[in-house]
Amino acid sequence: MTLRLVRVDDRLIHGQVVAVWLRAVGADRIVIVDDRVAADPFLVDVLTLAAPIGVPVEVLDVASAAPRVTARASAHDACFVLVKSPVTALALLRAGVPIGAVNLGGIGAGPGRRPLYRTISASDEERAALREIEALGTPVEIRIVADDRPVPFASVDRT
Amino acid sequence: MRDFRIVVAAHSGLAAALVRSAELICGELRDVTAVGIAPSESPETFAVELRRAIELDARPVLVLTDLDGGTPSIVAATIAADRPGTTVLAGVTLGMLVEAATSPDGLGDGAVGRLVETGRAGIVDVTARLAARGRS
Repeated sequence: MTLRLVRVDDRLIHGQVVAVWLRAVGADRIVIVDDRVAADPFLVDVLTLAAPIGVPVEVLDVASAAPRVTARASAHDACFVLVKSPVTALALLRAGVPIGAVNLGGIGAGPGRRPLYRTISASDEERAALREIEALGTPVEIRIVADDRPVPFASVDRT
Repeated sequence: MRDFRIVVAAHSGLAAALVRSAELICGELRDVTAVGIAPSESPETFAVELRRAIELDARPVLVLTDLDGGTPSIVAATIAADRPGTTVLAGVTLGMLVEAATSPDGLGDGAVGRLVETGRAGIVDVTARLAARGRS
């Protein structure tokens, strides 16, 4: 059993967006993996409260997430994994988490980043991580909202 | 005279449009700022802009955001946590903004609760209300 979807979205949980994705992937819990967020109890509270009512949220750092998420995947738990950066997705993959596909959903413009596709930007480091994820055999598809037709990362990746 | 500032934080052009629309009703509004998050903007960049608007001076600030659980709301909550005198209300309506902007006093004495009530009371099934009076 592999996780159906790991989504890269720098806004993590945001309003209705996450509700639509939970339905689309048939998940009933959210796991956020991010070292900085996991170390900030206030931010953990804010994000937990931002999830749709009744949907449990776990916030984990990368080190403790790998075994935990792998266990959930093998227990057939339908969880929706959210990360802020493809670098985190790659770290999970390298730590042995069975990820079926990586969804690239949102990375906003910022220092060191340049436009990648529509509203998504990425830095050189983030692009390298996405390429490495694909090289390890996990497809990366761009879908900003669940209704979008998936666009393969490789088709928009120009150095 | 209102002794607090208002910051409207919302997705895309909604914040600016709400402030413009409120000005249509109230005339020019002082100490009301709109901060929108663009679809291509990172939460970090938006946080810098919102923080600048909130921390402009030491007066109390009422932050009105569009969606509970949305990025503007989450970012506002994190800024408010370390800036005393900052109140965040999600689910802003034009009615709430007009009420807050024309408020003669501060945010104490139940004023925030009354604003929440204004927002709730402004949602009305007009069709059903007319039907109940036998008008449709």
